[in-house]
Amino acid sequence: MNLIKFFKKNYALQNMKKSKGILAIMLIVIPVITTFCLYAHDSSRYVNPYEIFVAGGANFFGMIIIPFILSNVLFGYVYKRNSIDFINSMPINRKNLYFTNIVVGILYILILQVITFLFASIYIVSVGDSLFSIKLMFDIALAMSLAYAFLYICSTLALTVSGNRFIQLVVLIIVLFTIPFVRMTNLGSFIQNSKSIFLVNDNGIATEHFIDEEHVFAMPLTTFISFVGEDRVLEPKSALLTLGLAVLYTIIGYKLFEKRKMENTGNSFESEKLHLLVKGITLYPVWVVLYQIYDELEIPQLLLIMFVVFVYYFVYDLITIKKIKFKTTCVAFVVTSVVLLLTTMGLTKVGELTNEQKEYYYANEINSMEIRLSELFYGNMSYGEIKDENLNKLILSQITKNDYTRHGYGGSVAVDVSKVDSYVKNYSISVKCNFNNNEDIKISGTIDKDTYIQLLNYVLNDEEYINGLVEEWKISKDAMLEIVDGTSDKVFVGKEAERIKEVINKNLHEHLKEKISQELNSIENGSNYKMDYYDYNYYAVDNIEIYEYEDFEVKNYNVSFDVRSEVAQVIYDELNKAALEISEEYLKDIDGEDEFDYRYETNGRIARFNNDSYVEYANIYDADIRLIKEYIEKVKDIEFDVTKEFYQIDLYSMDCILFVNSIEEFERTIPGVTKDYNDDTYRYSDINTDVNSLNY
Amino acid sequence: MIKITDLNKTFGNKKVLENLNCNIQTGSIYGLIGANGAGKSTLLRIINDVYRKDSGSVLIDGEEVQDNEKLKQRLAFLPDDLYLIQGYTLKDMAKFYEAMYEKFDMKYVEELAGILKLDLNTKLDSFSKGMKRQCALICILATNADYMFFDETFDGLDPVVRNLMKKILAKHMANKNTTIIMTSHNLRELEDICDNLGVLYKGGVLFESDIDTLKTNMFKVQISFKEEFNEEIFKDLNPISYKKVGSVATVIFKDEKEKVEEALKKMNPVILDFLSLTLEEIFIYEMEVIGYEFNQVF
Repeated sequence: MNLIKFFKKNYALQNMKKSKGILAIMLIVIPVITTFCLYAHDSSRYVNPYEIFVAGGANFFGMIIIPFILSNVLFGYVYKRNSIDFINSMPINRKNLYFTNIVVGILYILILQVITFLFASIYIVSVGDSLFSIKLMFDIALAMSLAYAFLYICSTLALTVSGNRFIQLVVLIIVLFTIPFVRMTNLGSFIQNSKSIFLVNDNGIATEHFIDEEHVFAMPLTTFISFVGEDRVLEPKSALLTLGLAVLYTIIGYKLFEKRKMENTGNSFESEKLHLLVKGITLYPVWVVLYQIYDELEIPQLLLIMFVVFVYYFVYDLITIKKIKFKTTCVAFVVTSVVLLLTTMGLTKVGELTNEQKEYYYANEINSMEIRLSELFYGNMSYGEIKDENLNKLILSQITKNDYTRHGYGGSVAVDVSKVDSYVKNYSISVKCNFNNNEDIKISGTIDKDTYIQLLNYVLNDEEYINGLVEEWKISKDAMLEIVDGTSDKVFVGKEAERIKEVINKNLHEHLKEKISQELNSIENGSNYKMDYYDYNYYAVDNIEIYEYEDFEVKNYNVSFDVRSEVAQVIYDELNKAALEISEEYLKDIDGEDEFDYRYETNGRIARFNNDSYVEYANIYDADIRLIKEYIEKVKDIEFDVTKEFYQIDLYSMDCILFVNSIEEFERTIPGVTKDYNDDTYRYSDINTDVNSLNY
Repeated sequence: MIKITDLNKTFGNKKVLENLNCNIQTGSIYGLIGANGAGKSTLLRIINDVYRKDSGSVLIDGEEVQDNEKLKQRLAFLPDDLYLIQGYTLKDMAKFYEAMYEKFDMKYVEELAGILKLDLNTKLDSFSKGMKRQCALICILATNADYMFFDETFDGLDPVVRNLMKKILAKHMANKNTTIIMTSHNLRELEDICDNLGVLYKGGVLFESDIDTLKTNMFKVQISFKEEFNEEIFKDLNPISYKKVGSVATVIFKDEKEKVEEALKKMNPVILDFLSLTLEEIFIYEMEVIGYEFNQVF
């Protein structure tokens, strides 16, 4: 389709002139606010590029609102009879009208992003922020242009079938979110982008791994998801999907616009059935939530919600068609309620069946293994094949060995115990396994220090890889070797040291800051530089992260160092102290005299009751809280030594971690855990443990 | 020539135009009259490609109008509810039209604005309703379109402006051989300017005719005789209406005036006066002829 042929310059110019006021405001507001936020943000610390949008908020907020406004500025004439008469009687046919406005809209979006980019570039040139490179801002402009343009096309598509702006917004939301919402709520979660698989080793022991799962959504959604936790500015697959959908929606929009009944102004849709259908769809999320929580609601609460939904049926009509048909609305309420309930139940069932299908992979079916080298060293993110069969076996044996032991309450997540060999963290690696059926599965796991050193030596002998790093980092080969083999004690000084300190401070839990900073000061003043830090999830890690932006994402390079035991002791003591404080608060209301009853719910959860009244629902209430309380009472005054073997007890229900050197007291107090712990594994046969067989 | 054949249009379940047939000759001023809701505006919107028809055909000089950009260059539509871009002056509006119409004449805008004493650079928002309508009319005339459509254009104008605008319209038509189609629900608005009239009723054209023929061939006679008489004595002349008050009868004939006059004179009447009919009277009688009450249609 030749867009230039359909582009009517005269009409485009007049249409732009007609709307110049609002368009000018749009072109000024976003760049100015974004630039203001860039200047206002703390450039001495690392900022996720998505925070630039949110930091500022203008571009991010604009991504939602501006395309909607733009479609209304350029196409909004269809909502008023006199403007319809004026525009549609002009000597321009609907095809040219539609494509001219589409091009003008996209042109405005591009101008907006170019201005924002130029403003941001001035900031970068004037301030010289190391992370916010021109390239990053360019990529953001590219990503935002695509997201804006896609939303503009979706808004226009919604407009072509809508009789007023409210309905346009409703249709837009339906177009954008219906399929992802169904996938998210009924068929699994897309936020985490991972799924669980089991890797079974030669001894029949299965370890659970979470592998990346492809959930490709169009741009606005991926932008939200990326904001939640990822560092990617532009996901190529998402960008392609967005582009594809944009073309598809443009064509559909054109077809609908060409056939649009212009007399339908002010109402929702020309067809009453379509009106009722769309109204019903708007209630789908309500039904999904209701279906999830109905068993926790009292009958009056349920009736109240249904009444609110019933009233909504009338309010919706008042807003959209400005009249009420009592009988039709009542019938529609009943019919759509039944249909939506059945739909929700059906989709949820499909989701449950899908999620219940456990996927098993067998180690003896692995053809070859590749290690993600960036997990070990700076730079190169690619995978490299390890051709040493013994090393492969060693790595495989470690990633299929599960140190985590779960007690027998049906896949509990309330209490976990894991054995920690040393305060020095195991090394995380990603392994891409190629199976006999040619399927590639990327598995993350940990290896111990000995295996790490073996792997390191193997890689260090790989001339090609080392030369690649030298080229990438523009440093001498010797220096690179010193860095990557971890034998060099590097001293960071000046701005670089300040930046590292900032990174650490940013990630420290508030109450640890003071103690750690004392340690940091001593480190900074010493000639040998050794460093560790905490992240805010309490997990001790032994590296420093350096961020660099390239290829549409912020790459995170780990610099590993040995942890000094003095620092580690302070950290772990503080963690234990915090855990005891948290658990004390959590457990203070637990009355040891209460008798509890447990009931297995059909939705897979366990409810806990006492004889008098309802006490507590929990997602999986698998350990008697009284036992945990008893255990904590016993161990709270026992000193912890980080240099010895120790155990990590995850008290998930209290959201804290306790570290102890001995597990005997735990085994005595909460015996259910020790059964599996003795095997030191999470057995294949235990995966399907039936909750009904549990022995409370 | 505009040829409309079996045109149908429904809004939801309501039939607005039903099997409408109509022919509008080139170079005439065609008045389309009908009550509110008769479908006049809808018909104009379909002819101007604002609305899509459900079925039937609308041919202008043999070409289908829908999505025909080239043909639409020859059409200009002034709807009843004006759309004037906010913040625009008459000059800005004219420039919009100039960008869209190839034959737009900006000098003509200036000339007409001078005649109507409208400032080109004053914002239209500050103009009165009548002035806005004049501005819109100027822009439409300046398009130099071959076919111009005016929907209830003279409604709400004071008599002086209305007459002035009618004069401008008539002059324009005479100079440029434009075909003008205008609608009104008021017969008197159109009778002094239109050449042809069509009556729209319940989505169809009830009848159409040229006004001169209507006026010439239908006339009123006041007549009286020495002796008593009744309607029977006129039956050979086929009167379409007969009323008698006292000894004077008022009879309406639809025939050649000379022929009727000659026949009546032979009856030796004591009073014989020929009177012109207003267009409204003509329509009342025409409606009666085809079995409709005038008040029912308007």
